[in-house]
Amino acid sequence: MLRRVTSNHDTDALPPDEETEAILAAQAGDRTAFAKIVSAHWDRLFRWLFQMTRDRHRAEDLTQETFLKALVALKTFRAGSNFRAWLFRIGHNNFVNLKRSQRRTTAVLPDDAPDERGQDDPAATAEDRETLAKVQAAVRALPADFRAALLLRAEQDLSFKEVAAVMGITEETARWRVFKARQKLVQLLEPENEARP
Amino acid sequence: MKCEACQNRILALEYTPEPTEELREHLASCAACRTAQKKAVKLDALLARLPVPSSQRAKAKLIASLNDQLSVPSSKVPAYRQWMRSPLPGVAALVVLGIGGFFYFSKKQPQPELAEKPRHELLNKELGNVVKLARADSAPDRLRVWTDWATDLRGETRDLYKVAPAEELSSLARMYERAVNEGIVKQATRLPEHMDAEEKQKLLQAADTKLAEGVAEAERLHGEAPPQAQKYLKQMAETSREGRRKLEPILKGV
Repeated sequence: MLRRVTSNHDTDALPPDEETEAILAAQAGDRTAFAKIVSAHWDRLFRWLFQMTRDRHRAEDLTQETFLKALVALKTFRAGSNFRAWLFRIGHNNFVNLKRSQRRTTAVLPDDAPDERGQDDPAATAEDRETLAKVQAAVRALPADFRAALLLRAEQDLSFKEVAAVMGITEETARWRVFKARQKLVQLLEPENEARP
Repeated sequence: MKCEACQNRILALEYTPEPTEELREHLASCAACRTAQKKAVKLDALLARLPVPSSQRAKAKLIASLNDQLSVPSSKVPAYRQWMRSPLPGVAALVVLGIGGFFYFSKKQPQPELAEKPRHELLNKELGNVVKLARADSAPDRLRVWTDWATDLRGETRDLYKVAPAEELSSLARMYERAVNEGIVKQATRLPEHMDAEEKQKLLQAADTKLAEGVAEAERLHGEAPPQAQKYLKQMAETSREGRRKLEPILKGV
């Protein structure tokens, strides 16, 4: 009854054993094995970075950089532990560096990312699309740290411990950020939901 | 259990993988909390459906470049291959720049064929730099490679600033920033103490001169650049200036 809806963006996801095998092969220098890992994790990582940057090109750049940094640092990864959390930590560092460099040059991350509403599921009703657009706008309006934690937990399904590790914060802070972000977003849904049976 | 506690737990995503007995009981008897729980589930469903543009082309290109560009037979370039197997911190950023450069240029031209190998000059230069860096076994050598690479990036910017769209100039500015900060400045701080002072000074001076040229050039181009390029030229000028600021105490300390 309480099962949470989890996203399914691993279009090429590898089963855990295969992933470990691919990581070990990549650590031994097999580039095609690393290509397999890229294929398995790209969509989720890009999705998260897009929600963070709100800009497709930047998100693509950051995704590529993250994988290439991961490739070079791969030997430091302990096969069998959570590769996704490790990868997202590199991605998060890249994102923070980007933000820092943009702050220095007085530019800001674009808030005018193209409106993606047109790409919604065609089967969705107009009402659904409207709600989705509302949530999208609200997610974008969240402070970056809260948005990052929320999406890592709710969308990427990482544990609070993993969210904390990715973001370099305590588990308690991760919980707090997710809680506050969800509280805000649920309030947004409230009037509409109450009107429904 | 009170409603507030129940709803807080739902919001905090504390109910997975299975709800506690206490929570389950409360939900069974409380319509308001069931509604709250439904909203939370709905929110998760909506979050999972947040629209994201396709990045399949970029994904396929990276995979193709891993399969093609990086799988160079070891007999041809042993140093490069060897480098690919060993995580060297300074090299990491250069690889990123290299492949970043590939993507940067690949965005400029339609490349529907995924199997098509990237041949752009900048990528070749990048790979050349990767090899040089892999072979550079000391901070002074790496500093020289990074200085050359930053200069190359300035050259690319000079060639493109009037025609390239903002996003490409943005990529170049970022690549330049990394070459300066993660390359030049970092290697400058790692120059060995026992290094000959005169040689050290000469090396740092050369890097500083290139950065000074970077400031002057970016400012000059800024004056005649189209509006979409101005921000990035300003960024590059600032990167050079900042690099010089960081080099200054190192130079003074020699």
